[in-house]
Amino acid sequence: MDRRTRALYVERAVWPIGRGDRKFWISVMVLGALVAAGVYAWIYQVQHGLWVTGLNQKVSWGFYIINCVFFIGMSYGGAMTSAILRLTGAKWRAPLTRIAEATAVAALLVGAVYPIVDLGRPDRFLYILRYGQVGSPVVWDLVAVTSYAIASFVFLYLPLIPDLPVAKAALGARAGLLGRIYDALSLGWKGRPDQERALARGIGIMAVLIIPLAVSVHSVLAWLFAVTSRAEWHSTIFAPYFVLAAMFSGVAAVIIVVAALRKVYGLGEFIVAKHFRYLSYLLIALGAGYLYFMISEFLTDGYVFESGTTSGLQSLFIGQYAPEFWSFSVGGLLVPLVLAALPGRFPVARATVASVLVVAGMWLKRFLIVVPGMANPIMPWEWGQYQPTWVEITILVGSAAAIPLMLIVFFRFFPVMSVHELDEVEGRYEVSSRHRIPAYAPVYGAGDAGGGDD
Amino acid sequence: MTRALRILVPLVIVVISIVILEDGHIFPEPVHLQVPNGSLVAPPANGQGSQSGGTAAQQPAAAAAPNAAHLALSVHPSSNASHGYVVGAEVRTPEGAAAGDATVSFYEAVDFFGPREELLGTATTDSSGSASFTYLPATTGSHRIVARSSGIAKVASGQASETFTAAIAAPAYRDHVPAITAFYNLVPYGVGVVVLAVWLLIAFALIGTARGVARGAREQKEKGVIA
Repeated sequence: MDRRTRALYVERAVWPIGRGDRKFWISVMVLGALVAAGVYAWIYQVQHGLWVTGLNQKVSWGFYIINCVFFIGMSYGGAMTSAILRLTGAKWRAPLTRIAEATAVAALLVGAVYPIVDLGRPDRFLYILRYGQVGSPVVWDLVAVTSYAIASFVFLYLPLIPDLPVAKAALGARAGLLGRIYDALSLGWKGRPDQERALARGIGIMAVLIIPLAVSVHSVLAWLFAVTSRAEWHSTIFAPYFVLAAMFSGVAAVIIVVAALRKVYGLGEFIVAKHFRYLSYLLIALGAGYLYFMISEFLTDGYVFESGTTSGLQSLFIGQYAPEFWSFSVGGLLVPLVLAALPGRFPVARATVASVLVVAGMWLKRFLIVVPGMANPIMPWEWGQYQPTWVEITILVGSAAAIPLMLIVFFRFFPVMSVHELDEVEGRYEVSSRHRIPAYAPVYGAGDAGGGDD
Repeated sequence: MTRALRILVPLVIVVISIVILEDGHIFPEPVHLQVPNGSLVAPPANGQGSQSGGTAAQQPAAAAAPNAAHLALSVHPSSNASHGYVVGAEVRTPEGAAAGDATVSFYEAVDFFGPREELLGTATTDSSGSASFTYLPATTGSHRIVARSSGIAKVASGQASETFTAAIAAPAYRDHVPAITAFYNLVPYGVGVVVLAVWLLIAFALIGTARGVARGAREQKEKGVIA
């Protein structure tokens, strides 16, 4: 990459910083209003109790648990994408990792709130800490999600350190208090070899650690279902099934966010068709894996036809939940896979449309896991019914709006693409000590740079 | 426009907050349960409950009718000590004749959310008017047994009670513990060690990086001063 292209890259990466144009404020207002509506619905629920939702005695898990699994899964995809690209040393990763990591944190923050919403009485959340039993999957979940959340924040923060001086430089004289915050957070980053080494070690540890952590989070979420005696849930395949589902929907979410930010921030010169093609390959591989798992699960259950699973399978394939099931199988799985796999024109649009279908389909799949699993009675009773109310729908819309809101606010303060990462993959540090100084970074003595031995 | 929006956005947030808080409380007011009169009163017991055994709690019976059966209750140790006690009931008509085919229900007076009677079991009188019930108390000490006979032709139900001191009681319940439980009990510790290791690694990554970067910055500064 020549100096001019790099300068343009840096310019695009820091373009949103400190920029509050009309589009930004309108976006903030619209998304903020949706989030406020969601918060209002939640407060209404706290005031009146869970009876204002569609949850009932037979179907006591509904939208909230679906959304919890869905958003945490989305987060997982972001973290995994970034970690895999870093660990494999993919040279095309530079413009994507920051977006993937920020998406992971934003989706996790939204998903982690849902168990509290589902409690009805938020103050009872403390009971998990006071009376939690180590044998309870709810406690496992708390430990796994907390560990993953801390790791996600660290995984987002560490690669930001060398970009913070760039962000400060972008603000120039307007930096003020923000500049001091950037200074504090950047820990005095100068791009020295010893600093590079420390940073590379930290990011390396986190990239390795975030993968088993994310796997553990989704496995624990799966065990929350699988350790019950409900026929649809009590399955040994559930943990890897959930993990793959999370990766599948998460990569799709990253593609959507990348496509949206590419358009909004004008990153088309750096996030090109190649990126979407590679991400599509990942999507296809994960989708094919998920299809395999799904067939394996249904084949095993359907072949034996135990009394408990028969009614569940019947409701999915030809019964009450057949419209949702076939919508997911065809619209949310097969069509997107074909769309992403087909060669031809409009790779960005195709990848984005396929990802939107996958995200919608995977939400539907979580619905099909949670609701029929609950509605199918263990005792010989009638099937339960579940109809979400405006409260649950508003909270879903509000929480979904919170993710883009958090992202646009975040990228108003931090570079949307990693500048340091670009220099790393372009080998700038290894070429010459002269190039160690990012274009926007504060200038320091030329004799300080040292050898690029990292 | 931008400046106007900067003012407008906080204003909208404030207005929404006021709307949400307009009735002065976010959290629900304490709910006062309105219990209709008599709705929590247990059905009047007459000693002829449909249970044939178990732990159903009953209220004390109503006063005996004029033609009530005479019911004598006795408690003595069973010939097989491990069986506990034999609670015997003898039911006679007001005229003194043996009352056969009467169902006798045996209760124990307990204190469970207030004074109640726990149904222990039932037995039917033979032609001599006798019915018995083997009872192994859960605890040693004083026990008050109440027996009630069902009404039969021209004879109303009757009741009697007897207090006795039990020296024999059922052995304490011991759950069967599978051998693998000992292994299972170690699992949380193993998981705890793994979780701790993960947290330490995260801390190492964060603090190690921070220290490394800060040290570099310090050295840089010192160099600058010397230069």
